[in-house]
Amino acid sequence: MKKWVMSLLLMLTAPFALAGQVVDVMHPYARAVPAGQENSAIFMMLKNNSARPVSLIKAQSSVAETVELHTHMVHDGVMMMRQVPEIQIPGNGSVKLQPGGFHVMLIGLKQQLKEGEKIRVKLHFSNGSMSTVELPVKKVQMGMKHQH
Amino acid sequence: MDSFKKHFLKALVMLIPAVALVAGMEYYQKQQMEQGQTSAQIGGTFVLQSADGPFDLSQQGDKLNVIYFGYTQCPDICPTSLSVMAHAFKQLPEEAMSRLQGILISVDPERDTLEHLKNYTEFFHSNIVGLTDTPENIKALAARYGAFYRKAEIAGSAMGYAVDHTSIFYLTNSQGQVVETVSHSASPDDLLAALKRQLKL
Ligand SMILES: [Cu+2]
Repeated sequence: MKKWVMSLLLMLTAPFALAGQVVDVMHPYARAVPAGQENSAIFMMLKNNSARPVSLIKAQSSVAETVELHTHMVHDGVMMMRQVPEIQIPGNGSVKLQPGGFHVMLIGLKQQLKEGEKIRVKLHFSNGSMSTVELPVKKVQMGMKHQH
Repeated sequence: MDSFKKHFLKALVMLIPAVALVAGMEYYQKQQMEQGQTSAQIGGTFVLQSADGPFDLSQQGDKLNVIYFGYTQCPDICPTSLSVMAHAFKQLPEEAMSRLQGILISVDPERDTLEHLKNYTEFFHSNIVGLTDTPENIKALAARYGAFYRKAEIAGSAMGYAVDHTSIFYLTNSQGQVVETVSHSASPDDLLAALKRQLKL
């Protein structure tokens, strides 16, 4: 009987205990902006170590008034940016937040994001986990090939 | 022998439409190319506002202009394009800089002040100038270049609206005639090749 309770407890708490490791945040960075610029974006790679899909559902940072999840689409050569409710990471897969695609959008910057500085962002995932990430501010060079 | 002749003739007859089709296609393509060259007379000269006063394209001397329609609140596509432009510029010999002018034309004059445009373009490269004008004038100018943009409300977003837009570099001569266009790319290679071609480097 005791054993049964224990395993139930373990089953209930395990997801929370492991939550931190379900999603790895890799190579995060924010785009450096000129003075007076009101917004910027954060990019990274999200890796899902579990078999189930997990979504990034919310991001927070003290550097901006509002933080949203966005994507870019191209339709007939027209570039469009839109807000998305979540960014899904497939089970045992990964998703790239990169220029021209998904990004964490910083709106209403409270400070200029200068190259070489570090900022923090808190990421909330659909499995209830949360990670606080410290990331560098970089002047984005075109050609993602050079990013590796 | 007779049957061979018959078959040969049959094959020949069957070949005619194919030959005609290929010839027709070649003719059509040639026509299209010729038409393309004449209808490529997009662009034109303009006078727009900059933080340092009016900017008259026809008064800049004999320069190759690289014109891009965008806006500064564009978080991603425009900065990528401007850094592509800057990176291409940096790979050209110093001598070429005096024969080259980068231009960002803001399609969001309601939010982009001239001061901020100047700040913004100089952040990328000192050879890029930021220009805009009244919404009506910008709309008309974009149409002359075949650049498209529209305001897009983003429901529930603190951004209010974004501007959907095409992302193309227009290379023009001092009369504003478009001599070449380069489509959006995350790499400066295409633009650099076009600049070298036009500057005869
Ligand atoms: Cu965005």
